[in-house]
Amino acid sequence: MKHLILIFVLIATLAILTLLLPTPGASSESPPVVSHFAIDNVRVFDGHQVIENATVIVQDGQVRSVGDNETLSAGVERIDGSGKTLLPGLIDGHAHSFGDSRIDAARFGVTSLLDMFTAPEQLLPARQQRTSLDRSTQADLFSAGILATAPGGHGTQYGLDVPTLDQPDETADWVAERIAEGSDYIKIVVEPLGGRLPTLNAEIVAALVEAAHAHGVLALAHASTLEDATMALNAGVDGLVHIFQDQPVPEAFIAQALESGLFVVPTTVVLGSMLGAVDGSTWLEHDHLGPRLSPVQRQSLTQPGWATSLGQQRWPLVLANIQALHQAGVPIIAGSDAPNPGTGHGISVHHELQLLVEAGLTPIEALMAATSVPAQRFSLEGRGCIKPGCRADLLLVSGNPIADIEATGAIERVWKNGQEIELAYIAPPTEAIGRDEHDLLAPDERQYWQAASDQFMGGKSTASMENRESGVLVQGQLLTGSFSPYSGAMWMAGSGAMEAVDLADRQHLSVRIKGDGGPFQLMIFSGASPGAMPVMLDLVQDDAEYGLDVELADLALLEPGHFRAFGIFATGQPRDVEFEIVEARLE
Amino acid sequence: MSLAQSIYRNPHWQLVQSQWLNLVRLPSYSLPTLLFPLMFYSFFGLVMIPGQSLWLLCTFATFGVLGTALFAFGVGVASERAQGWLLLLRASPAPVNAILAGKAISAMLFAAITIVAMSWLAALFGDVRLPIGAWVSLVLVLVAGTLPFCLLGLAIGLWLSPNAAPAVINLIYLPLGFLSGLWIPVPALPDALQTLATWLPPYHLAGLALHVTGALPGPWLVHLLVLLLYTLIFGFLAALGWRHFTGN
Amino acid sequence: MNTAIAEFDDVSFRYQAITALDGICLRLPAGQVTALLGPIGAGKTTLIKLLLGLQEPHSGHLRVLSGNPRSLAVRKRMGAMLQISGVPGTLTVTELVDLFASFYPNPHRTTQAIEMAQADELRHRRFDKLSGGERQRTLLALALVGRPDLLVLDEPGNGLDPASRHALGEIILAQAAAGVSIVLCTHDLDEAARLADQVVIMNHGRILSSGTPDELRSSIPTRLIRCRTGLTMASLRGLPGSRHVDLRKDRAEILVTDAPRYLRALLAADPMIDDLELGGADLETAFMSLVDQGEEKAA
Repeated sequence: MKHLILIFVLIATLAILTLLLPTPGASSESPPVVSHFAIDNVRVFDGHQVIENATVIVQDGQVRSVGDNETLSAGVERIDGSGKTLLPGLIDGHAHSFGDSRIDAARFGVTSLLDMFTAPEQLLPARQQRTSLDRSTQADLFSAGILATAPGGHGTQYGLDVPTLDQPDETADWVAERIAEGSDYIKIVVEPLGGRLPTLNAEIVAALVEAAHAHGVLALAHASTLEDATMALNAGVDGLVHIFQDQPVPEAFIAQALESGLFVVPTTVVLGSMLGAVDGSTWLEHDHLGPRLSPVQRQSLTQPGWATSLGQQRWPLVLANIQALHQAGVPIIAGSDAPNPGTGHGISVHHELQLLVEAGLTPIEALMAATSVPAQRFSLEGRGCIKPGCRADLLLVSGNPIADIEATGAIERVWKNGQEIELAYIAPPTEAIGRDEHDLLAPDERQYWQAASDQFMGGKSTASMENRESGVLVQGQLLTGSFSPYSGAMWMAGSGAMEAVDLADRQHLSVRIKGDGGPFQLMIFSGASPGAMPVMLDLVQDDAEYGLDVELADLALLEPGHFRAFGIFATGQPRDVEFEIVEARLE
Repeated sequence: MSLAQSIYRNPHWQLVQSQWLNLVRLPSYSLPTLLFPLMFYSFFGLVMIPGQSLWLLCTFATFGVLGTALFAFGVGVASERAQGWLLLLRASPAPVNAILAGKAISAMLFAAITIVAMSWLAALFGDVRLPIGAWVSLVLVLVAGTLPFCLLGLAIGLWLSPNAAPAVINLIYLPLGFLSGLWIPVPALPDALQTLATWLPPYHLAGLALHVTGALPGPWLVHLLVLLLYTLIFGFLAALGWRHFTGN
Repeated sequence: MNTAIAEFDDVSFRYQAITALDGICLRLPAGQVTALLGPIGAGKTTLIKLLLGLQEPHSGHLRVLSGNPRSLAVRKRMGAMLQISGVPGTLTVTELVDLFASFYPNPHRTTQAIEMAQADELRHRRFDKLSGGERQRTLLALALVGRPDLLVLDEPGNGLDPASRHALGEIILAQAAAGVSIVLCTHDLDEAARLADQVVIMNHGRILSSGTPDELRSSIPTRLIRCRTGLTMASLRGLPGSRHVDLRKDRAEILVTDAPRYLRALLAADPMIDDLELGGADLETAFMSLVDQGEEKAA
């Protein structure tokens, strides 16, 4: 009889233990940070309409109520929202997530990213994270993962390993692989670039759409011309992730788009930037937002577009086509295509909203394009809304973006999962260098030197290095083959390659080399991003010697808190290179 | 007679109990079946491959279920058949279905322990958080998913000698687990193996687990139908094995 | 006593090419102990399997307890102790008996069944910790617990020491006295003779003879006489009650049914007889003579 009882106790225990397993709301390890507060007297855009003078109560990561002033127990924080507007955390309908993209986006009130092509490794962890209501400082990620393109087609040039498609019968497996990797939808590239690139044909596109729909996911298309967009539409895609700008959108296209329920993510901001009509770099000067930009955001915002005359002709078509589609009732979704040239994560969604208003959307319609419309089309439950039960991803701005869309940029506070996040860019902390040798040619420091040439960047120059008692001898060949050939040697500040360390206690760098036939350059690599541009300085000739003494504090673009490396390189005309580094001191 | 007494004197209950006691009191069976999947999950799912704790929870729990079912049935039936215990039961008026159901229920109970324990590991050390419905679905799906593998184990146990059965089951269990993407997620396997995986039943059970937890929403109906198909196939093999055993 | 607990009517059974039972006609009277006697491979175990409903005859008819032994109703009235090497060893004797009790509509109490099988002291011990004799007693308790009308025992004395065998015999007799019909399968002639009301002798799937133990004693050579004698083969065979004679030089081995009668005749015929030994015949030898007889008759 006792076994009867024991087994029932066991079953009951298992049932209870199952029911007690931690859910996204509650963490079993650390008691959840209390997220319970109210915003009073605030104008609320709930994803569809505006509610004036409302109180919004947030509890445990979700919006609890939206309505009249409510009595709450003492201790619940009350935030005065007078003169301010509360928006749902914005959704970027076209982005590419790399590195700290999701942190940068969240700091600018963009709390969900619809990624349109990225490395698939991050997808499964992201899926897990986005179901949680735990504290997070990142935008949640939804993604197409790897895009569908032809061998050698658009999308294969970024260095990601992209499995390409050649035959319609490969599509089912290809889509199944994407789904297995964690893709939420399928992005299909139709980009012949005027016949200069191989691209997918109509048959493959149709097969891809069918396979995506068989898995119950959306099929989206990248197309730049009416012809390609029409082909994608005929194939049955659910959305276009750019607006085409080669010719005005014809009535027939609009009719078919309405019939098939097509939506369009025009990515006005990136097209404007590519076409030279929009300058993302002006954000660096923005009073309020400029100082919050991370180095990565700054870098992508300042990357130039093409600025051709053709571009100037096409730009009006971008705006006109958006307007035509929008007025006909084709759903428009705001997307930035960050971090492409002229855009930055988060910030460019605000830019896009302004451009959509310029194209003829009302501010409310523009806000819907970054909230309720993508939430509905991409089935993002609890996002893009401020209603009871919605995820408490919130953006509080001063002013009234309903009257003036630029007010979305007047970001005061951002909450992700009901917890406030820091708006300022905080460089990731680095450790101090931890080595106190000031003579970088001392025996202990020799291991941190290595030969370096433009081969790293795809060039052809060579470099080799030899340790001598008198210094470091560099030999090599400077050859044309890259944009700026170089050949020389580098000293690494950290123990890993290009690892950032805090060099705040050093003020002075001096180098001296023996060699002939300059020019030679000193390049100092620093910054939170390993890809940040180095500071480049010419070495000064003094007979057979070249040298330079620099005060680090004088170099405006140098970030001593994230010092990575410096290198001494022969640059300029192709030639045989031989020089010896005879002095390198960092004091 | 009280309700508890009448349950206790019910032959179905008695058969569940005897099978259950036989499993738990045999540490050489119960400990490895319980601990191996948990150990594997701790090593691979929590320590070596961080950030994939939910995905690997689904696949390693499937792996645990697979082992529980195959060993409880394959080795258990083979040795009970060889001992003559099954013959004695068949000579008695014990309901034949209940003999097998008792085994299946014990295996499922065992599987449930593995799944719940692994879920707690995942929650405590892998930061896995799921809505309560997803947790419950995960446990229920995997517990129900023991059935086709119980039938496969039964078929093996009815055909093979008690010496051959453990070897054959290990030969099936480990490669089947690997090839179905239970150790290394299917997307990380070479292409040829990925195709192979879609033909294997544990892949589809793991697929269902991944679906209900939201780790990878997939074609759940396909998974379900494939598992049902395999249940029929294994059931047929087991029925053949039963005829072979009874000589009828 | 007229009712039959089991009736075999021309029952045959084959294992592929091997004929295990060949046209068995047999009636087991109710309330009696019937011993099935025969060497290994005689078909006893197959007969028991049919009796228990574990197999179906390939031809002929079989009724047990007025029904089909494969029906649940009939099996609920039978208890069986088979030649098996084990049961789930991790269960205790009480747990095993409880399990079997649950299969039957009106079982003995578990303690009672264990007591009947003289296994009281084993109650809380695990099966895999028991000795051979203890295991047999446990299996007997499993066979008894269902309060069977028909008890089928397949070689219950196997592997037991003489004392245990004796105790087992007592239990069987007690059950018989309580009105239980018993089919006892054995290859031990003495055991059969001691316990059974009726003995059925089988070999090669056939029934060679059946009758009470006394009847059989007169027809089966149960004794073996060894001696040195000057008599010829023909004279040895001619003496009354000889069944089989083996003569090498002056050493003779003679199987007989009635030893005293033969010995009197032998001593009279050869007063010089030497090295006389009288022993029990082993079953194989005894059956051989029966088979010889059968073949002689056929010829």
